[in-house]
Amino acid sequence: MPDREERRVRTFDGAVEVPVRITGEGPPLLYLHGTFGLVEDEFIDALADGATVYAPSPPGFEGSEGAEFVHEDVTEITLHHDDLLRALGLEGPIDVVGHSFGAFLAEEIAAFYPSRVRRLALISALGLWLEEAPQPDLFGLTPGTLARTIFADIESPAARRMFTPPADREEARLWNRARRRGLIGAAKYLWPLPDKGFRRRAYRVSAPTLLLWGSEDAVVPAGPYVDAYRALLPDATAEVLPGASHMLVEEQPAEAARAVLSHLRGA
Amino acid sequence: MKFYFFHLMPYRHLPDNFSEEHHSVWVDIPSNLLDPQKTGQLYDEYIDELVLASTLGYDGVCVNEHHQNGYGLMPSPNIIAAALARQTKDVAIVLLGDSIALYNPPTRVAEEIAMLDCMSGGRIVAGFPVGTSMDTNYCYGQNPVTLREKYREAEELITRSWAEPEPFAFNGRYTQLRYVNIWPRPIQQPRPPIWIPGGGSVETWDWVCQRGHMYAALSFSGFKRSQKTFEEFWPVVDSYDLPRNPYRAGIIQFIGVGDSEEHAEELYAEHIEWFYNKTQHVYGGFIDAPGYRTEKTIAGGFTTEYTDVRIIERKWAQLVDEGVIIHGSPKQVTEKLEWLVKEINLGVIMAMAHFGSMPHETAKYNMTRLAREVLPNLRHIHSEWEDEWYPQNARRAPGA
Repeated sequence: MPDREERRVRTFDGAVEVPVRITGEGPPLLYLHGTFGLVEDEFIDALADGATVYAPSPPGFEGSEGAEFVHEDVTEITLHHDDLLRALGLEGPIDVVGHSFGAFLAEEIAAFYPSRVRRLALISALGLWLEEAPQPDLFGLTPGTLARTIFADIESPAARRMFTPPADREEARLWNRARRRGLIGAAKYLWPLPDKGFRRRAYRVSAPTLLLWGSEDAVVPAGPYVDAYRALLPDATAEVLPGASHMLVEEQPAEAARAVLSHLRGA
Repeated sequence: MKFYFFHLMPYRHLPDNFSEEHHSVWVDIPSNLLDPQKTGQLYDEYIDELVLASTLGYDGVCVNEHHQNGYGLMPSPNIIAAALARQTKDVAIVLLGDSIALYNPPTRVAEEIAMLDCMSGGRIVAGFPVGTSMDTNYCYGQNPVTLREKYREAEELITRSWAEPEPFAFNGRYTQLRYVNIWPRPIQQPRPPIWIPGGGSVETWDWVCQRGHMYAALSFSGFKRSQKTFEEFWPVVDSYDLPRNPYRAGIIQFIGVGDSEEHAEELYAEHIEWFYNKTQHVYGGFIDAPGYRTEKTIAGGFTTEYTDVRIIERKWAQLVDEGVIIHGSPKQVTEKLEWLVKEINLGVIMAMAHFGSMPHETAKYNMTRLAREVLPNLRHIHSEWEDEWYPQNARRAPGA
């Protein structure tokens, strides 16, 4: 397992503080995790094989402070990420990878600050809404339905791990709180539908982009949504992993990391 | 004591197998279950019941706001209140209320309440609920994380719009207006009394004390739960150096009057069970959007079972045991209510004398016996206090 460092970074002139996990050595890679917090350890460790992975949690998620300072629009959350990259000393173009809600954040960084992004990977991205392929309401599902929606196989070890609280009572309480805070942190930006106008800004994205999806994604169905992103990002390439649903970074971490690294090393 | 007649206006023609066959009574309830003709008849019956209450001696009638549901047919309480303003005399008309974070700009609510106050001759109580998560987040698309801040900003804007004599600019985070200058203005000056419905959060208690509003505990968990709530509420009032004026607080209470407990059970058991088993059948995913509750209250919120089924199966005996319903002969109901309002220092009871699938005739029977044979025995309680949250131009009941 690569070395991990936890750093705390302040944005908005000190009003907001978020944790950043830094893993590995090599060129910098910003990884933005999804709605359910930073759970994909194996995926991140695989990415860290040849990159320094910076994995911050967004305001509102467990470990953050001052989330109420950042308003619920993409301008503010993207300013937060600009502040964050400055605070980390990552001024030059870097690779940016995001999953689910993290991809929603990543695509906005690439649209607002095209010169900051060398290569981009969007995994099971939120940020569009297609009338012909409406998405389930991630924030209006009971845990059982949620599990069946984001995992292709709810009996898989990854699904079990994510939906089984620790046995210890106090640890379970903290686990619950972290999960709930993550949902709140994401809901603030995605409510009630995840389309916040990326479509109109997509032309600004200049980084070569990988669209990485699970073939069974029941949140953002691969067929229509990959097509829609390709139409918006003419230089994008797509890879669809058979058998995975929305949580492919947990369901198939090695394959997902291989696809991302292959894209990042591509040029 | 003050007694109000509270109506939810349920759609009481839901099919018998509703809870087994359908996902949720709220948010995504199938539209083909509703018959608009029957709905019109229900409005007639229910408004008649509210008007009847105004003649029986209740101090007021309460209406409320809910959306996309079979639980209550009042997406706009103000429309029902407009009918009541014309059809009732004397009594308070309590809007309990307008979910002010849902209106853009919130001055729309200030205007409508001012209209109603003028139309009713100054008999309006302005109630401002945050609103359930189903109503606000899922039906009306409000961001759950910012809902409460938006709600409080709207309350500030509305109260200022009634109070300030000159046009003013309002530079809020959620509402910006260059000219706030509502017409008409309410008859009641500086404003109609404000009631805040709540479910028991400490933050709400602090806020109602700071703002001087009345607190209406709208829990259907029964008076035993209310006892606990008010054990904690009154010390908060003390902490603001405010008197424990019993009219500062009220509860909603199911009440069923008959000749005896057995007779009341015969009359009402079916209808209160219907209320729970049908209109509380809300899909679990719609009950509490992420961020709807404040961080202080989220500690144990996330359950992890792979189950989705949420059939509420409540039986009469259990509802009686928990104090959800107070029932029996007029004497028995009087004794229980007297004990309750003294025990928790309560000046306001909002009586649910119609509930669930109760037919019109049964509702009239229950309302009438409650008003004639129970309430007169309780009027004198708390008469040493002034009710500062009653409309200026509504009648003050004898002895209250």
